[in-house]
Amino acid sequence: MASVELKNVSKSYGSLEVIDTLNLSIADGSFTVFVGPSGCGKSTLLRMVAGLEPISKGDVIIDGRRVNDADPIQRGIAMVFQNYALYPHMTVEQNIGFSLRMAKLDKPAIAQRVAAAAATLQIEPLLKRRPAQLSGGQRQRVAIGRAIVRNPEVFLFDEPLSNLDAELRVSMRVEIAKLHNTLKSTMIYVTHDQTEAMTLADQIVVMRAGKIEQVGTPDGLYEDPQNLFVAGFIGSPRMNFLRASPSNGSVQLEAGPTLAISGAPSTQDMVVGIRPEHFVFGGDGPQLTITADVIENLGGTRYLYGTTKSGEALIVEAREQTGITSGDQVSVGLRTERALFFESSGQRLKLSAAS
Amino acid sequence: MANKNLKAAGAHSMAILASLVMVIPIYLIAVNAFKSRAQASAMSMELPTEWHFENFSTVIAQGKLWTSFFNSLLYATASTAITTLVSAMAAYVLSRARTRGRRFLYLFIIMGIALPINYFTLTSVMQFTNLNNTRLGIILLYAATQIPFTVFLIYGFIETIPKELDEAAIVDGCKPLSLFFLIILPLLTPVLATAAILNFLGVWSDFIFPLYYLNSSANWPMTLAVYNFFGQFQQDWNLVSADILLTILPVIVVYLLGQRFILSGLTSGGVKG
Repeated sequence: MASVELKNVSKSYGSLEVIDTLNLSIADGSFTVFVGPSGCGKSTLLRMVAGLEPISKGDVIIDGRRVNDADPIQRGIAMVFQNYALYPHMTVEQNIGFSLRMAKLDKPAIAQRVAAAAATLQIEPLLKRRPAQLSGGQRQRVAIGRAIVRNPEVFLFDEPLSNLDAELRVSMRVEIAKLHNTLKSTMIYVTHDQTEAMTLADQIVVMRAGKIEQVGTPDGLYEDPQNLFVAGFIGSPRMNFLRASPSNGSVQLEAGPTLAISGAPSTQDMVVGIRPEHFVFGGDGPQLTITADVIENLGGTRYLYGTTKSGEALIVEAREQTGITSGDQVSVGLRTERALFFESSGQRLKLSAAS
Repeated sequence: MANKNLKAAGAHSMAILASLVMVIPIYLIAVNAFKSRAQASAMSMELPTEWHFENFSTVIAQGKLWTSFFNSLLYATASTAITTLVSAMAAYVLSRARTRGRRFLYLFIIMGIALPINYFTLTSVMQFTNLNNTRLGIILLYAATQIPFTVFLIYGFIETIPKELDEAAIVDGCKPLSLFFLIILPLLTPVLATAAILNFLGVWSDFIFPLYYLNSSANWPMTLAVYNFFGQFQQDWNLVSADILLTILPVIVVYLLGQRFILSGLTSGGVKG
């Protein structure tokens, strides 16, 4: 186990900068998820930690040791790739034991550790098969087995679940969480799926365009995003954003109601963010009138996709409202105390609802 | 419908014609190899009136065919081994780490496929390096001429091996050589088999290089041994035919044994496509 420290790390290909002077510390034994849209540099950053990508500037420190020039094997990392990257010409057993073979362990020791890894992942019956004879989920287990057999200091996962179908993805997600609980190793996990980030992480690192937007716990990011991007990226369905402008101790939504706030924003245009679950039907809060476009019934809950009078799209969770059909005019109450306020540039405004 | 039948008939007759072009010379050689000297002198299509099986033993004894056979085997095997290994290594590096310089190098190497070899001062080079009329010389010469096409062949195949396999191997602790020999080379088996068979057959059947660069008959491969029976003053067509038949026999055997290795598709499954 080891901590990982990134100090002023940057990466550029010629004049193209993909990671821009980035600082991050990852605690020993934590589960850290890098999340962001494709092309944000999250995979590149992981590969820089792994030693597969040279570091242009700054230092990568694993377990207190600067590893910029160390080979992956010297860094004590193991990696699970998105497309599994199993060696097609080797059996599962040989795949898992390959790194031990490279480390020149003797055969009984390799067999013993491969068996232990296989037992952890419950893949013992597959040991004699080749990758081509495995299903996607089994291949991913073998790929994870290949990582755990080495007892690495740090596990690196590069979008390991994105090639699996939806159902399998959920069950593998749970298994990875269990694995982390058992092994208690430091894990760094890259994904573009905010659900995976929310469910797995101790610490989420939200990235965009080579920069860290915010670092925090899942709850911290969900409740207290620092900017519009994080607010929109974390949470599913995503947060609603409504155009607004300040007026004398309150905020006037273009879509209709006025929200009473404490604190006076200096900006002219602003955005109010409110999550789908922070609406109430009835009640005495500020009311929004929307036209229902689509009702998405998920069984356990339902989401109402509508349009406000100002033409803005809005998603409202309507768990109990069974009677609404598309085309209906619906009035929904907005829980002002849960609303977040942003400058139009994207920065969060620290305002709160007047009590 | 009639139109379709007409097309099929046309295609069939083309196929038959093409087959005849291939088959008739082999047939000619096969029947004439069993004829007497007098009957064979006409090189006709008719079957032998009496079968002279002893032609083959005569050819083997008079033409020192065993020596030639082992020469051919040595040249084909050694040059194929060198070509295949060197080309696989070169193609791997050129295909994986693409820089401007390597791109140029790749194009420069495969230019060798197109350039006419006769325009190069090969003889001078061979003399200067003391390789003329040596077994090593002809082996290196074959390797050099086969490498461009073999690199081209393997280069394309390497693109189908996902880079993640290299990275997984590096993370698992592979150094460049172990990465190449333990991971990449086994995955290249299908294309290496193809390349090896083509190279082997090419070298075995070649007539020109030994003619230019091997003066002493002790170094002759099977293709040149035919000169033992064919010259200015003597034309034993029956023996020539028997010799040719013996020469092409290994080619056919290698082809039949090797063709099933050409398509085996080892890479499927390791990485989701």
